[in-house]
Amino acid sequence: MFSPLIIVAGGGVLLWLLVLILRGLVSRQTPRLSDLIEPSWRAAHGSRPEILRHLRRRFVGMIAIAILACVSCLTWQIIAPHLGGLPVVLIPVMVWLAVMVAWSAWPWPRESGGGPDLAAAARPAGTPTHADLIRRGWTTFGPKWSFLFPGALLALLVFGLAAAGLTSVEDESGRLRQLGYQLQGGAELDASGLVTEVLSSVGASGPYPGWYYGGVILVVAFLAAIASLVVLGRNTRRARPLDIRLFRLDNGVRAAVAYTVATLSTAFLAFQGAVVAVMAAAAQFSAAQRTEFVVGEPIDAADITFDPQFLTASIVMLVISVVLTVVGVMLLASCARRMTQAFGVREPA
Amino acid sequence: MISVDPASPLGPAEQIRGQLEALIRSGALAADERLPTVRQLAVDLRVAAGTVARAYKELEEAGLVRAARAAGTRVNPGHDDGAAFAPASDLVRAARRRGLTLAEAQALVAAAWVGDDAETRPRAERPVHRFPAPGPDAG
Repeated sequence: MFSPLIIVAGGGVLLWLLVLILRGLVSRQTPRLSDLIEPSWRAAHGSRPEILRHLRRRFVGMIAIAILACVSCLTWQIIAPHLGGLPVVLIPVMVWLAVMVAWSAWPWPRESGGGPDLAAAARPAGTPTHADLIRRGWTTFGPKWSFLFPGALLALLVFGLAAAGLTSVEDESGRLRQLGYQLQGGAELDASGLVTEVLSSVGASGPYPGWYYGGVILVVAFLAAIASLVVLGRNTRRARPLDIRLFRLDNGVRAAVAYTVATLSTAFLAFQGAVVAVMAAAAQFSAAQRTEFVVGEPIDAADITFDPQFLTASIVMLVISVVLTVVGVMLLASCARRMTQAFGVREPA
Repeated sequence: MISVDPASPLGPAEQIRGQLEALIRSGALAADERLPTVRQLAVDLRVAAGTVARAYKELEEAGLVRAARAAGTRVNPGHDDGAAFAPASDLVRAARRRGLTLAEAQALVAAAWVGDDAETRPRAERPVHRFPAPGPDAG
């Protein structure tokens, strides 16, 4: 049997390795977007084209919307406590959905005679237009793991929620949100207080991420994934700027948007997975605790024991939850750091 | 990179077709390279999708590209005449160094073309060349 110290030390080493791998994947430096403007354009129009001001407003707006979505879920929980904590459980995917829907619905600035922008519809008459011949697709601007990480986490979430859903049982209100298990529910005693027969019964512990939570989480997660794809699609389909000198900046803006979508999608999926895993861990730990009655012994001699299967599952779920939380926090921190670099508030290290 | 100049005497579809053909024949667009979608090129150049589609169709009819629903539009192999087009790049660089506009450089090419005809072919075989009136510099 491993001692708890070895388990904690091993977990720490694994986490450290994970952090190193993630840092290698997500911590590349980002150039300042304003550095991508051709000097001749900057000399004529300044270093802050409308698109950069718009993008900064957009990022600040998304942070506000994320906070608003979070507060809305908490308010929903307060006014509807009978929902069994569903609004709180949904916070990661609801924030993801709100941010992506708001991003896709927020129009980009239109071109005007006052100064060229990146998103164009109208243009001064007689102006030549330019196009490069690089075919823009879903993966042109984002990091290589744009679809791999979020796709893997979404698949993991679907698998985990399906497994939890299939092992869930109804609570007193008929909602599938508890973990059912067999246990020794009591004992028959003789006149002297000795156990004569151990009674078997069915127990349930929760909240457990059964279909009651899992169904809603999956629906919202898939809606958020679709909204993210819409954002990525619009990011590639948006028109090039009229002024050819802004093409490099345009590439930088598209890369920043694709990176943000990939990072936020992965982070929110990781946080949602962590919430589900910690719920499962708590329910499994509760189910693992048993009172062991022994026939012929006094009832006071019954020991509290742990069911090894539920205990192992609980520890595994707890580890998964910690790992996913670390992944989510790292991705959010990386996103914030890279956007800070992109907008030139801080020089790349 | 291609461009569409509203001031050009050529229509947008002809400008797109001509530039793409030149890029394919010069080897700047390699064999089997995927061209942008009709929609992408139309959005970037601020022209109707039908204009780009017409240019692509003419290139396809000339055998320069092939179109497939899944694979998109790709450059056909065997049209790279890079050696013949390299002097054109030299001419452009020389013209830019001397401060010539695109129209002036085009007029220069037209004059050289006609002069070459006069020197190398008997009079009866000489075709009649009609060059479009040079427009303002595109660029």
